[in-house]
Amino acid sequence: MTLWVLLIVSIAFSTPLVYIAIARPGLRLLALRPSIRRPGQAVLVVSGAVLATAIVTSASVLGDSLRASVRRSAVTQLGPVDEEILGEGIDRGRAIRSAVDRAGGSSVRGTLSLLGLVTTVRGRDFIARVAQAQVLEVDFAEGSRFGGDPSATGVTGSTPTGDAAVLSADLSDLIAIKPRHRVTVYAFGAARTFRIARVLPRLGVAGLATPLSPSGSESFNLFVPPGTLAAMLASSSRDRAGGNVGISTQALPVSIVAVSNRETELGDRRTSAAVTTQLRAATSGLEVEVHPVKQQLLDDADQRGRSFTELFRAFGFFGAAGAILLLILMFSILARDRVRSMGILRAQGLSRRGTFAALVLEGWLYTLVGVALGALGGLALAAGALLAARDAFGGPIAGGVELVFSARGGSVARGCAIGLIVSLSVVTGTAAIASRRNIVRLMRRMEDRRSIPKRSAWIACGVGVCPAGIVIGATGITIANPVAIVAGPATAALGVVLVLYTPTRARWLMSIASVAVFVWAVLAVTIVGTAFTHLGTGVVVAVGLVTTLCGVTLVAVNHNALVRPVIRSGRGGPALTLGLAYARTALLRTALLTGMYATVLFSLTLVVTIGQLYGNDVSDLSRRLGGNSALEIASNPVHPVPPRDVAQLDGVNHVAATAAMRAQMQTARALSAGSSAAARDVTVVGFDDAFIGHGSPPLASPRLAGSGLWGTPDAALYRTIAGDQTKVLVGADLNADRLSGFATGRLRIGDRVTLRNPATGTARTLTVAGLVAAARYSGSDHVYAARTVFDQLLGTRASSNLLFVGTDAGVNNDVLAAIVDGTHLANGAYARSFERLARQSVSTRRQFLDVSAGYAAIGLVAALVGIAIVMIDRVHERRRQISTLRAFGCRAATIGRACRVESAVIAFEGTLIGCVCGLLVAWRLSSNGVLGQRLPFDIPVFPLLLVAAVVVTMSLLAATVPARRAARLEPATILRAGA
Amino acid sequence: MTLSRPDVLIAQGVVKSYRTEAEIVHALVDVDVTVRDGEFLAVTGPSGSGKTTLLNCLSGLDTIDAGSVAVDGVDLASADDARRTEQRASSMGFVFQTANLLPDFTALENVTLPMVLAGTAPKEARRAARLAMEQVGVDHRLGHFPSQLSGGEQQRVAIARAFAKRPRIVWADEPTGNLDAHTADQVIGLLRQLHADGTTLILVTHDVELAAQADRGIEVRDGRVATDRSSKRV
Repeated sequence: MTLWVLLIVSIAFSTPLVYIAIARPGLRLLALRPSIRRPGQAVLVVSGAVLATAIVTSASVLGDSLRASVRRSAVTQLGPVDEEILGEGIDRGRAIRSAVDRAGGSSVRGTLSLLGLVTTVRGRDFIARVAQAQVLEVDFAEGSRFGGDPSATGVTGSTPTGDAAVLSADLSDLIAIKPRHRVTVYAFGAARTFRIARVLPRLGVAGLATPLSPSGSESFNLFVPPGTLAAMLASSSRDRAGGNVGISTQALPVSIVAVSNRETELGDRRTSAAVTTQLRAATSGLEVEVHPVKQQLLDDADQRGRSFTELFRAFGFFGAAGAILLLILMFSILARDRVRSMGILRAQGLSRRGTFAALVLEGWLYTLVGVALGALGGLALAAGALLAARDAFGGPIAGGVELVFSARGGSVARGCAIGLIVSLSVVTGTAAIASRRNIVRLMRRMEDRRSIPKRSAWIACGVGVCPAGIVIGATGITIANPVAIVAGPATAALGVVLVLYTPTRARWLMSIASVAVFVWAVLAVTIVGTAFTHLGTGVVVAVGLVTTLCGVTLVAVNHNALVRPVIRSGRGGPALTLGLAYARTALLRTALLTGMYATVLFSLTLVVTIGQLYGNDVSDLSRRLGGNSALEIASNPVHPVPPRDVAQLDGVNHVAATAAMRAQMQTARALSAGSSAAARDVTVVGFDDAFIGHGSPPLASPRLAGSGLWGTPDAALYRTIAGDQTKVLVGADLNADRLSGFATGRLRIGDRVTLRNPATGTARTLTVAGLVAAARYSGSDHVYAARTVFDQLLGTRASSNLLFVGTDAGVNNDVLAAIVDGTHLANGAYARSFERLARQSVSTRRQFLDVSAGYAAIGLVAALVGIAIVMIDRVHERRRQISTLRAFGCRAATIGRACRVESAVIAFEGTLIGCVCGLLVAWRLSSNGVLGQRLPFDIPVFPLLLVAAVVVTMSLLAATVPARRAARLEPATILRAGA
Repeated sequence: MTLSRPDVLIAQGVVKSYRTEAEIVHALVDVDVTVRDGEFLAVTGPSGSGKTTLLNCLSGLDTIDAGSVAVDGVDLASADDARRTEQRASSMGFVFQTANLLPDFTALENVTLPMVLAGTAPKEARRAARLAMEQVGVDHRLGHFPSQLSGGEQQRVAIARAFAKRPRIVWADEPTGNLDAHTADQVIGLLRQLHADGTTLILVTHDVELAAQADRGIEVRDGRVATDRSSKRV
């Protein structure tokens, strides 16, 4: 829909110009000839359109590529598996398959029975490594036939027998185990060792995702001989025959029946939905769960692709803004020159409309070329960004996604249409202004007299704008819209300025308004915190634009006052005096240039600072994840690690025992727009009072309106929930994208969620009573409920298979985790320090921010091109002044230096504004938890100094050519000829 | 014979002021001028007297604050920019002190373009342009760009541009100001020759000798018409 609107607008914009180009030969000649005679100017205007289009197109193509990559990874991984039917217990597969076969749906191509159990395995190479893996049993011959395409199943060779096992590539990488190495499986209190026969790729049946893998999509699979799990379970049952505790469903193996669909004319999504419905009907009464796994994975992939696209789009926006400002700058210079030469034609009868049409036609031609080249540039840019992001996506947290280049025609068309519309808007606006110039002054090559509208016009305009701004702001606060909250007061302030404006009070009025709006934009994040809940494109763009605009206005109106003392004193020599004086000329164009620098530096500063804050956050994040505990120890529910064993270890000061299980969570509101509307996998932690203060993670917002829990301290709220079977705590970061930080609609206190045991279908609907500051780690969102709720979900009394361990200061928690793993392997122990989990999370986030920073830096190209062009233009405009100065004895070197000073001053002002705005915004965002959690603010001094130094140095280099031109002007020639 | 011709331009009570940051400059004060069809009028006066402003206001290049200006029966004072532009396109030609040629167009194109923009068919415009350039003696420079022409040649092209479309009035503002004496004589000769074909010529100059060649001369001082006289020729 949007694409069609864009295309229609583009065509509507272009049609009259096509007519003019065909039917008005005079205007056509006026438009075409300069581009042929002055290719340099043409190239510069085209470059603005190229950059704007390239950045917009690349953001879309990047989105396509990310989506396609994640989807490809998902499709490849699942291969022929479209749905899964899960049933608790060993012998459920046959019954399930019979039910499916009896239903005889024509859309089902085939079924495959597997048996799986998530448990602890240990690789035994030179160094023993422990991991949580999915131990699977399947008939390999049947597995390779499944779905009709053996190459898509990933299953090769014969079914392992005896002590042989087959490993998936992901697990092989994780525990550094290769063929012929040994792997031990710990389950049901028993252990069994296998020799690895071969490694299978992450593909099809071999690539079934392991529950609770870091990204939710890795396949940490170990294929063991059929019957292994039954034998281990039987041996465990014999050991417990004296029987104090039965094996709960918390620990039983799961029978998995994979279903492969036929291709139908309904398409994959509708086919999968229809088959899922059929399967549910066919298996009703069997107490099994049917999951359209491939569609869920694809939906999730789309969601992740959109999040990443939004991240790049937000920071790419500032690059595009720089390119648009460059286009305005270039075309205004070009239009000025064209209109000057058209002055005589205006005198001889060329109408204002004709001048306008000729200018727009010329701009349109440049825009067409620019858009075409920009589209190609966008494709190249996206390819480069993909290359840079390869490592970040290839990491384990991101799910080891192999990035592939993909560009949909619609995305490229959208980029081109946006580039064309934006460029033509700039061209049309600039041409409209240029064509209104006074003919007499044009021919005399004089600037127009500054026409100041009547004060009544200012007031009328201001009276209209100010209330509109107030309404926008008030509405924004009411509906918690961050863009309106920032833009409304800015608009209102503009209205006030217009009402009160007179030339004499312009400086103070604009300064006060700029400072007021700036302060509001920065503090709104705190004052109206409910609207700024996550780092979205709107927040970044609105706050970034308003703050940099205020900064640029403040500096522009006060530039004279700031540099006057230096100019008056004459300190620094004539070059500095001249350079500072020159930097205050052409106020609007200088402000545009400063704005280009400021917007780009704002985004760079924001990204660099947020990256640093995340980097500094490791210890805080580990505290947020684990509360007062330093370690988490997961173990086999049948034979869990005894808490007293851990408590006796050196350095351990407390152990809190909880129960954990995988469940599916559904919520109508938060996930309604999301792809995985069906359910989200979560880890439910069932706790009692022992957990409080000894592992309970701190809360982000400990209150429940109307429930009497308002302002309740963390411990009190945990205590309340421990005894309440209707409430649950969820992560404040539950629905935020795990890598970009961009949220997709979070849960709020008071929302109702349904937790479902996927094995039994037992469900409980609970109310969110609080938000845990950070609850996402190990590839899973954690939710916290009373132990009794947990037991209800499980259908029996749960064992304590998740321990939270507090340690003394100075204890190396990673070493302690390794000790627990080593000493309690028989219990399937899998221990990790929260600091390690935090490090993993932070490192991946920083990788993504680095890629974003590179993307934002593209805008710098526009700024540097802009300053070079403006300086060349200024030297050209000032050639008479310069010649006069030279005639009076000013040295050529002084002129050149003055040119460089001017360039450096503009770059420095823009850089300073951008850095200050970026730092202040990052400060407020981090302090208010908009970045996912409250982060202690810290200025990345060295990186920012480096960025500033590089920018100013590059600007000086960009001014080299104009400085040389200025120094080489021959005063005699210029003064005599005047041209 | 001349006296019986109709008035092509009637200006009455023309007032024009400029507002600068420091003061208001009264450039024209209650100026009355009437020009007959086919007349050669010279406007003289010292620097800053307002003669170029008068030309701009009478030709519709600039607006006036008060009074009336009628060219060919069209009231330019009350006309909007589009109407004034149309009037200039249909009945006026201009020659300025500097040739003001478009640097990116050849000499022939510079002459052709105003006609094409006014709606003349390109072929017809080219024919008229060639003829005009032949008349002013630059027909051997048709394909040259302005930068390849001498100052005199540029001014001839500018004259050809002004006369090519056969306007009722040609306004010349110091057309010889940038030229040496020999070239200036040639240019004035050309203007006279073209005026002889029936075009009204209004020449702004501070050169008394040049003004003396006109049918009639008015002298502007301090924004007012100080004298209005017929020259010896008349």
